[in-house]
Amino acid sequence: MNGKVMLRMLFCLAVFTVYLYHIVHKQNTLNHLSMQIPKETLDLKVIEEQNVRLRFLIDSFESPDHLMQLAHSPQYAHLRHPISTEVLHIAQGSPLHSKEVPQGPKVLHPFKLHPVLAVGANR
Amino acid sequence: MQAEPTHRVRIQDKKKLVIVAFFVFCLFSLLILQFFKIQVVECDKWQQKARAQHQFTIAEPFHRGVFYSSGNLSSIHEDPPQALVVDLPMFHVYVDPESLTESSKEPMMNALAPIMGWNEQMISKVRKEFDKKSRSRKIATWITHEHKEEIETWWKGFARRCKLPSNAIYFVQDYKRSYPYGKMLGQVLHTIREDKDVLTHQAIPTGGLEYSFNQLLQGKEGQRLMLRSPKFSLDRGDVLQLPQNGHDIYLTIHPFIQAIAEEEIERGVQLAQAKSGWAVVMDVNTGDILAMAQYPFFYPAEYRKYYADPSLKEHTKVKAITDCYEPGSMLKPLSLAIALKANKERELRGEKRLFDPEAKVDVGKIQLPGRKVPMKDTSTARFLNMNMALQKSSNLYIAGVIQKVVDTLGEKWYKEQLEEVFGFGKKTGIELPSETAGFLPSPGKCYPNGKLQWSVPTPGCLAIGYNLLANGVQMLRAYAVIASGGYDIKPSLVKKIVNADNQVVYERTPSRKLVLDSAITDRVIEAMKFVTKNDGLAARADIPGFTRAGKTGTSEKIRGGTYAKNVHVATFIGFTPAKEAKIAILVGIDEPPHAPIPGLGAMYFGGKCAAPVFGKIATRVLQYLGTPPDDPDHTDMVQEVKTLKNLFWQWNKR
Repeated sequence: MNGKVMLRMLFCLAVFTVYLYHIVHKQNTLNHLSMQIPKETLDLKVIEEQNVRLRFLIDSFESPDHLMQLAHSPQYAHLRHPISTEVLHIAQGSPLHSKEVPQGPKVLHPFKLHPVLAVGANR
Repeated sequence: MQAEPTHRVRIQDKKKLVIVAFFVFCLFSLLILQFFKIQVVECDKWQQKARAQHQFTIAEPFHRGVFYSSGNLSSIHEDPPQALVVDLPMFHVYVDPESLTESSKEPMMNALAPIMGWNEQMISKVRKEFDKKSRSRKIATWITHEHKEEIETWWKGFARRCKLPSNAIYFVQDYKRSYPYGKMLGQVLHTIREDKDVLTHQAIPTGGLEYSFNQLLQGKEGQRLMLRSPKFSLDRGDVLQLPQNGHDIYLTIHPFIQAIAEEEIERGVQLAQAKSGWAVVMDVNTGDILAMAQYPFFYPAEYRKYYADPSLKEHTKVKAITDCYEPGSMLKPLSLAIALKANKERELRGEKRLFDPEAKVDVGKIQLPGRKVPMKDTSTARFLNMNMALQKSSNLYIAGVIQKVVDTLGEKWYKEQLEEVFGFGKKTGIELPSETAGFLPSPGKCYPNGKLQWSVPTPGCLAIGYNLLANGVQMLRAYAVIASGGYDIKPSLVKKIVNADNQVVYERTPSRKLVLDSAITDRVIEAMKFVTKNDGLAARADIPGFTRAGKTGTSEKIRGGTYAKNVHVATFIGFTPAKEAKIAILVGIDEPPHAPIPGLGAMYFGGKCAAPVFGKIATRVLQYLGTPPDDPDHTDMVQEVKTLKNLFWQWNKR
């Protein structure tokens, strides 16, 4: 009888220990993660600032002045701005050979397709 | 026998032990008391001291609001709003001179100078900072992230070798106003000074939109904890108070249209060898300013150079709104519109019309009362109708018509039309500082010298654009009334304002109030179209494939209280397409030389130097927008021009 009680108690203790270990382990993991947050925040900020710097460099390169200079160069002399009536706008893209009817929510921002024909083409 | 003394010793020892224990206990109690005093009673005081030694707060910088360009204008371009100003993270370099050793200062200078690109003068200036008794001296401002990394890499090894504290050099981050498109829109945007307000730590704007919207653009600094110890350099702690960023402002300016206007005005000013020039492109239906260019340009990033040199300082202002001048011939279409409105007014009253636009008028017989010197026309033509009068820019015809208007409807009615319909004498309300209201004389009022503002010959002078002052944008607004079919158009540079939480706090909705009958504007546009055709004064304002209407102006500038015969402002305002116009463009060329330019001739006329710039800007803008041509074969009004020409020669043959 005593042996059985002891066994049950030991079993309970074992379960309790495992459970406790699990909680402590989880807590440690959480602590570890929360300790990483400031570092990750700092890293994220550095990346964001790097992003701003790169965006600035890209914008400087793609400035209208520079793009117009490029447009004046001989290799792009054949290009012209299309007239709005020459540009085709496709409200929503869908696969040509798909049998499945697209389900689900509608696309909120339908993309516009600008055919290559619109720039520098002879109609 | 031997046990007794031992026992006695033990008792004595015990007593001593008790005394020592008591003494120790007392000491310990004192320690506890002191400990209690420090930890509990004087807790705040020591906490503050400890914090002062190891922690301090610094201001966490905020992002000043930025300006964005207008988004999509045309269906053929994917044009998301572009940032015209960016707050780039940069760094200021500080040094702690008290923690430096004498032997380390020279090698530090030798290492820093090439990285920072300092000259001899700068080296000696910074060297003096190293000798000051201070814990913090600023030695460099606005260095890039790359420079910072270079300094840090060198400093790590150097500080270890020289046994210097690693925080003897440290960096403070700040955001610098930077311009991805360089000089573009410089005068309109302006900039902020490199130094900040000492009390508020807020940026100090130098002018332009930065000044107008300073209250909205400026944010609020936050607070950040900084930690320091002898072994470790400054470490960034938690943010105690989050910074509050400023509002972002979305402008109506379109970067490509702005670039086109800037390129063409630069070319136009250089070709005419003029002092300066400006071009403003406006959407005639909404009043949105799509471009506001001015040459010579103002580079906001180099603002110190402009303010240090008086000859450059004038290029920092937006001349299209700060400088007013007598519009001259550009007022003639507006005078005709008022005359046509007077015709309608008379018809409504059941009276006879004041004049017939198609009728043959002998301008030689026109008498203008009160003039000491008779008014003259540059053309010798004697017989004109309204179309010819505008095409040849006749002073006499238009002054004569307006004199009739004033004689029948009164001075007050005429003045009201100039003020209420076309907005003269009133600010347009464009969102820029230093806009001039211009000047419109009032009947019965006097100048400071006691002379009457409005005398007998005043209406005749006003009709041809003299005796009043207007800035470029006021003139453009007045023309937009004609181009839009009679609507009161308010020019604006701002589309919307968004706060730091991305909520729209202001969005402009263009007002459309009808101030002029569309039949009147249609008739004036028809007459204005002749100006830009063959035999017109602005035939050079041609836009291949598109109809256009406009008027030139060549005004003499006032110098020393009198008209300077050799100093002019040459202007052209036009809109295109002529019917259902999309854009109106003002081109002003300031002080083109009076003397002829070899190979080009006299360039000081609006039709010679300003009209071609209009044509080039309009052509490129319409192409960019993908506007389908409304006159692809260039046949618009060919027959009408021919008929008018024949009629003109028939009436005026010698």
